[in-house]
Amino acid sequence: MKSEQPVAQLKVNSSGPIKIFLVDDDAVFLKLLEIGLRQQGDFDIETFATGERCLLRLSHHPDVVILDYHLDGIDKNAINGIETLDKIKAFDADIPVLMLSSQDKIEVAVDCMHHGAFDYIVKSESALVRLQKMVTTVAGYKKMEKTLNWYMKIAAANTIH
Amino acid sequence: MQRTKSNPELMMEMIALYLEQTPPLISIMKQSLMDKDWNALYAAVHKIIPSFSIMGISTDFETMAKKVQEYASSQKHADGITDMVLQLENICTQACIELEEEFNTIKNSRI
Repeated sequence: MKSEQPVAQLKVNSSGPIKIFLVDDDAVFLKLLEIGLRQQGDFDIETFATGERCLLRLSHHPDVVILDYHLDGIDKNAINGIETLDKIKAFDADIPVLMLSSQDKIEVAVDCMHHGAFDYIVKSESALVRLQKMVTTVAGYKKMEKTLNWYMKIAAANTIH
Repeated sequence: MQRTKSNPELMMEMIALYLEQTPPLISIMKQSLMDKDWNALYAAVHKIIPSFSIMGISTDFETMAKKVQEYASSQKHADGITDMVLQLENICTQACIELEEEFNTIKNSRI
């Protein structure tokens, strides 16, 4: 027996705004990012001044995390961006993480990518535009992934019946 | 600050954050130079850099801050670093004074 639910009525579980976590110990830049992103789209945004606070809220399942590389500059006891990235990936490897840094250095970018970052963006005047594009791209990928998973489940269910 | 100009509340929020964050960073910058604590100097300057463009401070100072950062990362005292830190302190202090005035102007215009 095949699934009786018409294809046209089936919905992908991707409704609602994109949930974004912003993590930066620079309060001014963090606020600027939040304002900029809110002005550019319908995003559900949570902000954090430390990696630790972000990790405590991962159960909220962000669609994307925007994470500063240099989180332990002033507070030496704070975990840095790479450690935070590793812990996010350990929690859920599918959460895309966009790394941010003031340092335009290839070794920093390579370090981030080696640890599983989706991309690396240098803090600059154009950073916000790039971030917005990346968030849209990531959201598009996630939607496609969810659609694909849904079709795979339907196909598997049909095979069983 | 262009993004907040049409919204006084956001403008005040941004200014308040800058006024809260910047003076301690200036203190760390000065103290770490005196102590030759290059890591702390690097971290303080690193954190202060993004706010230059946000608050509309001349790019000359951003370039200067990046030079201080380079010297700090090379872990050695270089000629002119004291003067550059002093100039950064002056421009940030001036920015704080002007932004505080701006904050009060916006606040008073809303009463």
